[in-house]
Amino acid sequence: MSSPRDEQAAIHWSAFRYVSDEMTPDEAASFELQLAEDQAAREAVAQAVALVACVRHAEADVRGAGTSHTAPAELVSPARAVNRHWLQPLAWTSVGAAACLLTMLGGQALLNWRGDSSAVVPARATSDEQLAVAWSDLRQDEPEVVYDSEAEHEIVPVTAEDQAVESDEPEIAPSWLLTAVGGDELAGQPEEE
Amino acid sequence: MAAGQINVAPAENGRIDPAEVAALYVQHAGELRRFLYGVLRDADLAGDVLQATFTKAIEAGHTAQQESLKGWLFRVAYNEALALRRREAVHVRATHQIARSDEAHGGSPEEKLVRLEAVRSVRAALRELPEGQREVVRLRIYEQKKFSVIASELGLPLGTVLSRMQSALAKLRSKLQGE
Repeated sequence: MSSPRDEQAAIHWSAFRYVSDEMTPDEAASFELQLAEDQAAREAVAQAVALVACVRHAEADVRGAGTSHTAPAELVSPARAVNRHWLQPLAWTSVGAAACLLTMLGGQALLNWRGDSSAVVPARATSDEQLAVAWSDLRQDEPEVVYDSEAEHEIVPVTAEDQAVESDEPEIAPSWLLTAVGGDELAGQPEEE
Repeated sequence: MAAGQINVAPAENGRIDPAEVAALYVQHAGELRRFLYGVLRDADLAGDVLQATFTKAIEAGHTAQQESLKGWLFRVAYNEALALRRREAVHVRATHQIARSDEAHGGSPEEKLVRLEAVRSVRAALRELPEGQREVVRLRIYEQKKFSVIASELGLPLGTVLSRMQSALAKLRSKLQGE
């Protein structure tokens, strides 16, 4: 009979093999059945993704290939870099605009949310149609901007891939979510003097 | 609300309290996104499914009665991911996409910008590994060689390679969890 620790180790090993494509199709199918039921297995997959990304990045840095924290333009994923290199000036302009927009929306939303949670809760039901429109209009496709703790003057964009592999620090509720749960009150809130 | 505990009364409109949804996002979105990436191998699709999951949370999260909300979110996300994968044959497309990236640039999208503190910790842990373990880790994760190929190249039994990898992963995971 295996101990809980052995079982945990086995789950993590399976998760690693799953994300690394080291399972046979039958094994993968079996593990996916387990994922449907087992929360520990799901969390192990999330952790395996983070671990693989960290190791790749660490090895890349050792070999001089990982200069992402000093060369923001290279943070775009390879496929995007090939296809969209000519869009980079526009992209960086968009990053700035997105940052300003996020700051305004996020600040306003947080002020309302923290100051008076009832302001976020719609007084009436938000219709599905309104919800869909709000989400599709406000979903942020532009990367957010964060600052490297070691080089605060450098701007580091967070791409979708990055968010997939960042460590366990919580994400901030995006404006589309705040808008969705706040309905019209946040989406169309008039500016105050 | 205690982490992971059901404490969500539906709002008047029958949906989960919006403040609860926002709190759930802050608490679980990062881990959910990584989980979805592991299943879908595509960051954009993972983001789409994450959004769909929280749509469900707004509309039906209050129906989660007997399990933790975190577990409920993961289960919904997984079901959404599988449905998406079936619809779009994502797995095949993603595999091809990764292969093209690797050919052109020697890396895959997931290695782009992880949180620097975590990378530093893992890098330090890598240095502490015995050389044999570190070599297997490097060959498998960085060079993306299959275990069978690694065993052949190193002239080691496959079981030895797997054992080294398991030991190394346990140490690295321990370091990562300590972040």
